[in-house]
Amino acid sequence: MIHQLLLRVLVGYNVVVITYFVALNSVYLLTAILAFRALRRHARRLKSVEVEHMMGGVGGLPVTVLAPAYNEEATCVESTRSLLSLRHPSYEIIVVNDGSTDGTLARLSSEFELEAAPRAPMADIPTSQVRDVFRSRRHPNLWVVDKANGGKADALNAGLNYCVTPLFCAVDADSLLEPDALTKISRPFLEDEATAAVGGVIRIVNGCKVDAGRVTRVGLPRSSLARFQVLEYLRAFLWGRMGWDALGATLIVSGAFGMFRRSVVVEVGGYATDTVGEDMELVVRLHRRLRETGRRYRVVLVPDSVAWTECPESLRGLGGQRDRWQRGLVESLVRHRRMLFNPRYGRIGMLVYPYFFLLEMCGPLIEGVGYLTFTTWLLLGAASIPFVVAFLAVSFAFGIALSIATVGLEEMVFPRYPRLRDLLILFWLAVAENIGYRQIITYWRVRGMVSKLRGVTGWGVMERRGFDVPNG
Amino acid sequence: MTIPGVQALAGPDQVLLLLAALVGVVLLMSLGFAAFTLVIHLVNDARVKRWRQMESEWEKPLLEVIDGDAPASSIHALISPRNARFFVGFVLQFDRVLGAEEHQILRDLARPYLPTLLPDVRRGSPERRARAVQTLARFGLPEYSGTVVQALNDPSIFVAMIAARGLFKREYPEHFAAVLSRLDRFSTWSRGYLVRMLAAGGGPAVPLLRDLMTDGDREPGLRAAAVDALREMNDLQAVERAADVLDGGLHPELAIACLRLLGHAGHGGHATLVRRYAEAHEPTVRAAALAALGTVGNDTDAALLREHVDDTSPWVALAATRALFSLAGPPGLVGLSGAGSRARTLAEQVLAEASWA
Repeated sequence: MIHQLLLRVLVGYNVVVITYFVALNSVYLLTAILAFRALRRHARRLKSVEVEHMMGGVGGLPVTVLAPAYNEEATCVESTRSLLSLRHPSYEIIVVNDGSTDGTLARLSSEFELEAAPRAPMADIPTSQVRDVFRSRRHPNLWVVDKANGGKADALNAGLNYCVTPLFCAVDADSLLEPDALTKISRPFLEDEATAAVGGVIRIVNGCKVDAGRVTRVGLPRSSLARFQVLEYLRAFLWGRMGWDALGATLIVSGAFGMFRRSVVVEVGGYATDTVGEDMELVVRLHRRLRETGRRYRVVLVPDSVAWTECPESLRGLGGQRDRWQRGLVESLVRHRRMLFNPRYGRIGMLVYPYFFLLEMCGPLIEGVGYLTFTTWLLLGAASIPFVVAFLAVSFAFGIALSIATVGLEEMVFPRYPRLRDLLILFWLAVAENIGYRQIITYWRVRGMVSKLRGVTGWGVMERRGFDVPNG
Repeated sequence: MTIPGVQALAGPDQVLLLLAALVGVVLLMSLGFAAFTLVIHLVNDARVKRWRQMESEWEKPLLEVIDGDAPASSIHALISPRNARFFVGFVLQFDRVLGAEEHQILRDLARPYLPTLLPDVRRGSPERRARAVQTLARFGLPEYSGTVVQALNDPSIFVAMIAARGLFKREYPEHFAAVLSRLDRFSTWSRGYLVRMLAAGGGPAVPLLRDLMTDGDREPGLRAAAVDALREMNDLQAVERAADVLDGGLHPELAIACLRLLGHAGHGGHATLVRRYAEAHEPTVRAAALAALGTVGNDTDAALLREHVDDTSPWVALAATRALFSLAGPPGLVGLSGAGSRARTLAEQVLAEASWA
């Protein structure tokens, strides 16, 4: 009796898994086609009129780069140098030292000759106490805000309070922006005053050669775990986000590199400090508020403006990161659940929100439980082994096709990996990631959901190796 | 594992067969993608090598021509018709970094090959059209001005903007009217960008921009861009007309631009008008008015400015503090050091700004 009941439950769950699988791959296919078209168009555009030339002397928009730093002693000087070497007609940098307990402030102070400078905040978003504001003697456009620890969102809000330019660019303290990244990412603001936010593309710096804050040679990392992430990032940015962007439905602007219209972000109250997914939450909130007030606006992605960032190379670091990302996703989506299937929010509410809610948020749970039910099904001897193998093979084959196509897309529009060997490695990773890596990522994402239910907060341990890593 | 619904339609063997076929197709697709990627990689490589080779062949002779050590014909002999477009692109790269003197030489070098771009202006993607229009505007005016002016009507606003930018230069005042009449197409573009484009027209554009500023039938945002461009060009005569515009009561954006112009080049006679805006509802307008009072106001405005140092908007407070400093120098800020912490910080900030300047 129990055996029969269990079999029925398992049969029912199989249907859920297969429906999820079909839905997910249909969305992937749709976004893939859209991304392909959008990227080709963008690549043509790049070849036509360079944005730097378009702007050159004719109205580059003033920007403030906000770089929150917490215990970034290893990377803060290199990242700040990288920010100082950007090619943009007019920009200011505000590094926010978020109560670091290491030598972050001291290193910044000695390297850039900081001196206390009076500066009044131009917005009043609540933050932890700001202790002091410094300005560099060597670089007049470099400011450091020293404040009590309050988390990344709080640090960004503190920086935002001191921002006086119409646009600000939020970056991670360990991000290295390409020299023209700021100019490229600001192009949508130039072409349309209704642009509220623009996302850039994040690539992995592990394995690349970095000189004076610039990536001078692109290569793959040595560690397999980091290599898998290279492929993952390519897929996420060039495929997933670009596809949604083509539909005018960008819901995520990465916290590591995104540009925003200051006035709009201040108007919605800045970053939320009670979530670890403050970057996504802000964009979701922007969509929500701007649609509720009936304003014309745009949130877009610029696929050729690139920031390079370090990825974790240990299982512990990666697990913590994915746990945090999943918690952030859950927090953002649950908080704004009112948008789910709500026609008031247009394609955001009817298309992209349901995708993220049902497939990205609940997906790991469905997939994780799916692995368990398959195993139980096999153990009970009720499963047709060839059928299970065939289903898994279909699932893996789709994954492989998608990843290889992503590498192709990268090579077609923004080729960065100069060596043929790197491409062959990426192809191999596209196959290998299906066995082990994908499952462990699913596990961490499920763990993130459980952590959320258990009320876990905070960022956990962050890995920082610095940029002087040996080249791959 | 079984799928009841699927198996109702087909037997287990058929389902398995179907899945196996699907796997086969998808894996074949993957192999296709991989092969395609490798081909692209090789093509990209070959293209880069070809481009570099051409660049290395052209660079030295080009620099010799620029330095006046060789005639233009020496480099023209190296350009095959097949590479004409590449060559124009190559010259354009140099043009971006070199000065006005070299521009004339580069223009002469590119000119024989410009006809190869003409078909691109009318066909292909907007990006291709924009590239062709940009190159013609850079190297082909006035000969190709008809083509570039036509591009102002291109269905793509991007192409039209590239044409407008190419035409709105002090050297080609004959095209200003054509650009200004189509300015409404660019109303969504960044104001700063429009302002700099209009300011690039220089002296010959001034009368037209003054007319645009006072034209009540045009969009306030565009009129404001004209005012800002006149301010950038330091047009003193526009001040009185801006005061007249301001006197009519208007859209906040236009009011701010006029107030900035008065703040830049106005005089004491405008103070009464400016004071009217110091109590405006919009903080941005208030801030612009108080900033202008720093120039056109007098000692009697100190009380009003001090009052606004405590304005609810920090932007207004900063503008008021800066205006106090403009009117009376450091003594104007003396009383603020004993005021609230924001006023004190503002005063210190303004003093520091003065020392940095």
